[in-house]
Amino acid sequence: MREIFRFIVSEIRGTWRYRWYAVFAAWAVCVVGWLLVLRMPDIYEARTQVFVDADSRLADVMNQVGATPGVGSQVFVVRQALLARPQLEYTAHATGLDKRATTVEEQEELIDDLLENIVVATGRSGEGRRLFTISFRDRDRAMAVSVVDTLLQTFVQDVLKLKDQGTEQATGYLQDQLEYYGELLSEAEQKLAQFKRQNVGLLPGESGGIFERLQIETIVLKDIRSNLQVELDGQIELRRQLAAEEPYIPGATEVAGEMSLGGTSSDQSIRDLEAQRSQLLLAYTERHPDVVAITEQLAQLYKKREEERTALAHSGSGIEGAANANNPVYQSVQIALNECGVRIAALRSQLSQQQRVVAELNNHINTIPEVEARYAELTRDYSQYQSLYDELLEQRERERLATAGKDRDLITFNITDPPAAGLEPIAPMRALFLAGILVVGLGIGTALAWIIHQFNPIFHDARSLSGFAHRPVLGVISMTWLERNRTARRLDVMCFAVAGMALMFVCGLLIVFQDQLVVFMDTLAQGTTT
Amino acid sequence: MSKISEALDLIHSSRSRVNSSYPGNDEIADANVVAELVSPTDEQNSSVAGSRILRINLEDLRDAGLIGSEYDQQLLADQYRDIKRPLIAHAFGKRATRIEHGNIIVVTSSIAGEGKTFTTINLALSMTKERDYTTLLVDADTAKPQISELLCAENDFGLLDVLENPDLDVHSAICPTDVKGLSVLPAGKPRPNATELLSSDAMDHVVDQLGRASSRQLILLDAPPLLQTSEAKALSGLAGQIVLVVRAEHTPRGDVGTALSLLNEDQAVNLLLNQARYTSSKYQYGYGYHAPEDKEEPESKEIHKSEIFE
Repeated sequence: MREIFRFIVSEIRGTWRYRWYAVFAAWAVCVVGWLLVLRMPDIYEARTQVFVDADSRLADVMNQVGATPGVGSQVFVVRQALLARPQLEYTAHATGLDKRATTVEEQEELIDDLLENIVVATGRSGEGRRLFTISFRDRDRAMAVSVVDTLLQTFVQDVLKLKDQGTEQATGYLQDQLEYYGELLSEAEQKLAQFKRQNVGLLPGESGGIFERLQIETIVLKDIRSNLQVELDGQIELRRQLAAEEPYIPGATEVAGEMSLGGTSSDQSIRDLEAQRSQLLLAYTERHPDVVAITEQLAQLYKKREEERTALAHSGSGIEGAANANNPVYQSVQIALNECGVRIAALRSQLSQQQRVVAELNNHINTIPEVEARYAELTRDYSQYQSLYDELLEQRERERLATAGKDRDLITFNITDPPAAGLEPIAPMRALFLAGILVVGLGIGTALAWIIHQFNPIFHDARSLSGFAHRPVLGVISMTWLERNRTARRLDVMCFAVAGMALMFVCGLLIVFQDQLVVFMDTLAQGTTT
Repeated sequence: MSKISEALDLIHSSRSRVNSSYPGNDEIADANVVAELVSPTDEQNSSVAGSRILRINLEDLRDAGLIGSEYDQQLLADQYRDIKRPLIAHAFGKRATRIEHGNIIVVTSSIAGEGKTFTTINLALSMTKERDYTTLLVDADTAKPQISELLCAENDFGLLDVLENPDLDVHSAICPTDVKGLSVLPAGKPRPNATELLSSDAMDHVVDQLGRASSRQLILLDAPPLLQTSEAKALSGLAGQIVLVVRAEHTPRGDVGTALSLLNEDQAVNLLLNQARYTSSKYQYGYGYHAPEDKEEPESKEIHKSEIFE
């Protein structure tokens, strides 16, 4: 500790030797620095605040529908766009800021300055995130306000444009897709229809594929065949039965004649009329006109019956003699045989038709799978396009709904602070700079003195001397002062103190009268330029 | 150096006025320099023809800044006492190893303006207080013979004259002073070949003569600065002990290093820090302690010593 203290003291003493260098350096630095500070132009800051409300009840609905607004990121994009070079160039041009620059380099510098001085900031969290602050600093107060105003307008326009663009893009895209898929769909439809026309009958119907059909038709064919066989067997049996029966039975002629007579049409009418006449005779005499009429009618009928009977007796029996046969069993077998023959004929015709169908199916059995595959393909394409198209259609409707919501109140602007600038310049903080330069000046002066001291090391005490020389040090002789030397030294220290104090005093004066001095310097500068 | 040069001018102008006035006894005692003035008649008997008694006027020295001011006297006296002690001890082997030719002491410095002459005079005055030894002050700084000028002996017969004429006895050039035990060998008349003379064999011879003359005599040579003249190195080669004066907060360290490198390693080189301004509390203590009414107090001296050897 003592060593450190000793070292520090020795450094201070060494530096003290070059105090006048320090004073001059400090003065030089301060004078130059102060002049620069006084010549620094005033800087005004214009600012505006916009509240961008991206939150609304519709946003929730839209979230459900799938249309995420994402206003936050959009605004971020706008902010980036606002600070893009073309936009800055536009701003410079619109505000007349570019008149300050004449050469291309100056123009570049101007844009760079703009980029540096424009601040677009949002709050960190919560409500503040929606509060945008745009600020700009310039030495011209009106210009600062103008730039901020232009930026604000652009900002609002850009955000609105972006919002519209988003929905327009979405609906436009959907529309294009819809048209495209619509074309594809109708094309597929046409192809399918044509194919169907070309391959009528070969396409799988509701009953299924060709193999299933072939199977079914074959079964039907088999059925027909077995039915036919059954009928044919029946026919043979009937023939045999017929052959076994006698067509005529002698004892049964009357019965047979009765039965045979009964078979004529006159017999029945006669019986009916006789019953009617008996009835009428119960109530009337034989002379009643009705009874007379019936009797006459009966007489005619009797005559007619006699004629018929004779005609029948003269006619001979046929080969089968069925009509003429009087055996009822024979007759019924005969009839069954006839019916059986009819059925066999029908089945035969069915069979031949069915055989044709099966044969045809067998012919197609090789080509059908190809057709079926092609058909399946066409159908698949078609159904795919169909579903896509439907989906797009649905989406477009959704988007239309979402757009309707957006147009209403998704993004609202509220300019909470219109562009304005304070009357007092916000920079430079001259008082601070002036004082800072004083400190820097004193620091540089001290540093200079110290550096010179470092380059000119000397001895302060016996310790440093013996440590350096490695020779015995006899002793130390104190400085002895003559009165005139003492006075000279006092004068020197006093001058030093005055020089230092004057520096601080001047600094104080500058701080107090800075405004007047700035004006004075400006007029002075104008005077020299004109 | 300018300080002394100015002072010399002042003295020369005032000398004519105060030539006859001796400083009073009180004043000298106050100056704490033993002022037992030698009676001129005693010295004149033994002196060579032409030599005279040089008067050492303390007021003049003080005006020239060559001895401490009234406030600093006590402190400086103490400091020089501490410095001379090891030199004398080594010169005569008292309580220390004797150094050959140790009684021949060269006072030099790295550069001009470090206080060689101041040191030589004060050391010489301090040594005269030793009862057992006499002191011879040799002004070997022939380029700037300040001691000679101070004593108005710059044009007197001196060292250079002796060197140029080997036939002459060096003792004939030595002037006694009015301070007891102190005699002075002036530089001699200035001449252009002074450097060569000081570096010559004749110088060896002269110093040898001086050293052998008395075993009880301390010979102090005021030499020119080491880095600025070539004869200083030659002169230092003749001495038994060398005192290298270093001015505090003034002499660059590098210069001290260079000066030391010029000196022979085997020689007894002692350093002396001159014009130290705020070296230690000792200064302040001594300063405060030395109220005008206080005289030598053994206790206080003990304190000083102990602090020095700390």
